[in-house]
Amino acid sequence: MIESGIEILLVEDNPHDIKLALHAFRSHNLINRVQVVRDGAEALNVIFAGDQGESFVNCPKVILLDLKLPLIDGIEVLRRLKSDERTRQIPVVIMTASSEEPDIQTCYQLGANSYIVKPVDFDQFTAAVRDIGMYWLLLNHPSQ
Amino acid sequence: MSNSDQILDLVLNNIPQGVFWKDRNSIYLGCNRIVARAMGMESPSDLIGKSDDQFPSLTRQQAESFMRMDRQVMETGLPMAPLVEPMNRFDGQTIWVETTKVPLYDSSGQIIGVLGTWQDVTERRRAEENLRQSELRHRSLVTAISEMVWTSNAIGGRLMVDPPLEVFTGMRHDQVRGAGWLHAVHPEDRPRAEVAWTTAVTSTSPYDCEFRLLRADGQWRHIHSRGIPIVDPSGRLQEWIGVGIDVTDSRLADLRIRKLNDDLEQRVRDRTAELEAANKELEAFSYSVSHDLRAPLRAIDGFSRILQSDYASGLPAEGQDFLRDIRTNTRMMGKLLDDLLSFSRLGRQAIKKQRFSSRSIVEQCLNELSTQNQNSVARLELADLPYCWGDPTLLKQVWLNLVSNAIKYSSRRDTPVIEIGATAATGSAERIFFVRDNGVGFDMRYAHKLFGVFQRLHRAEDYEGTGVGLAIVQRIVHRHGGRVWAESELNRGATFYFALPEQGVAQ
Repeated sequence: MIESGIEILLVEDNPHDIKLALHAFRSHNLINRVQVVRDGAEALNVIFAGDQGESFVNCPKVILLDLKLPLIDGIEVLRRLKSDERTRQIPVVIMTASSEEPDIQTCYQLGANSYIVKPVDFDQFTAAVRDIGMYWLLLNHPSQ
Repeated sequence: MSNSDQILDLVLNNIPQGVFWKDRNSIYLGCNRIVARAMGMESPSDLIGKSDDQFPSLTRQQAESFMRMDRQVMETGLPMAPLVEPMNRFDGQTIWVETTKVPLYDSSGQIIGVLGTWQDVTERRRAEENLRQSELRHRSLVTAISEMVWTSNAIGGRLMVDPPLEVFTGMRHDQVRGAGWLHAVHPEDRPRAEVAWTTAVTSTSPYDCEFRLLRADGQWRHIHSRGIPIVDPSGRLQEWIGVGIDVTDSRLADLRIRKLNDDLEQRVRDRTAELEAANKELEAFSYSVSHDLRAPLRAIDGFSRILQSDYASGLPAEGQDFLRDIRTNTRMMGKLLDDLLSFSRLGRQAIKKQRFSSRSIVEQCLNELSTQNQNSVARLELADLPYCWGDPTLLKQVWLNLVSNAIKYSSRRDTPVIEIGATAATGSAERIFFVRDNGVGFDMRYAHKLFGVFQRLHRAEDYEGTGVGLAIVQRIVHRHGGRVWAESELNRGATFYFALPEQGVAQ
């Protein structure tokens, strides 16, 4: 179940990447709005609220999704999100280390809204995080 | 002379044969002019009363032979069969004559002598001799090149083989005679051989067939049998003649070559499979490099950055410095990984060749590089660049790397000069392009290291770079079937050349 007030769902396995991302969000005062899940299964549980079929309380404004996740990988999570009426419209930003072409194509074909390769340089990374945060939360008009 | 005598005389002396008659003792009673002239006499009457042994030109053997024949005819009372015998003319020349003799009977049935005629057959004999020589020559030739010669009648029957098939095959005569020859043929080849022969005979077209024949020593020999129909002057098919040539050795050589080729092809297939497997491994490796190696780098860089920004106050200047070093190195490593990835990706990318303008590609590169570089090049000489045959995306990378190197290594000059051009095609087999700069150059003694991966000929603090740029250039150019090289003198600049094969040139 989505905790209320959460607007950014970060689906990321690597603890260091999580730490750095949270630091970036913190420096832009977005930290209160972030929930972190560690694998694809947990991500789907959180959004689809288990087997009871209850609908979630809040859609996050944006999901930051890494591709390489344990249990259920990012591509599968993306597929499920985009094929369900209730979740199709949530913006999903793929963040991953893979710059291999097939992955990029697959993600866009499945309906990802944007695909970002995680740069090594932390300044670039924080800028990317900030841009994503700013754009989806503040500037974008979500569908209603 | 009476009328009839005159006519007789006319006839005698105009017959194109020698005519003579002798008495019981082989004494000449008369002859015609041809005989007289042959013996060197003025007239036939000069022979009367003489015998053969009295003519000086005739040899003793010839004379005795003539007279012996006379006696035989007169004693047996039977005409002699035509005999071809030599005779020396009065001038010593030997001619060949065909002689016939019949006994002369008087009215009471008594043999009183012999009557003979001879015909000069010297020419005929010479022609026959030439023919015989020619036949002998041809026969020898045929025998020299073939195992056997054969003939058959017009409908393919009465097959005669020389040397006889039973000699070659070691089978019995009754097994292989006539149509039995097929029994000596290899069972697998039999239907084909039979069909070929019957087809040739029925369609009167030349016969040409190869099959295996069992030799007496147990070996199967490959026999190439060929035959032609012989047609008489009126166009009617008379007979067939042919040869059989043993081609076993060349057949075996053919088979050996074919097997070698097959083996070779199999080895190529195996090697290709190996290469494909190696490529797949490399792809998996590159993917892993891309993801797994960069994650820790991100962490190192990220946390160093946080240390720098959030804990600057607690860190002395030297500590700040070290953090800067850490970040520089992580960025360096990140770039190395990127370069390594592009380098490996190049090996796997398919090349798509097309005709395109080198000039426009180079201009694109220059635009991109000028936006990246703060210090613009003082002087750029861009010669007329020809169209070239290759993959534009990959070749753009080549130009980018070469030109950015030129810019980098001439950046310390007061007036950096860069020349880009192409030399005239050498016999249109390849196109040579070059990038020349007036920069720091390199020591030609280390030229062989230039294009190695991560090889550098300059210090990193003097000129930044990972040392992969030229390795990428070489890889791309080699994949196009071209070659790449460089010339330089320390502090006098450097020229980098690359040659690409023209369209249609085999690689």
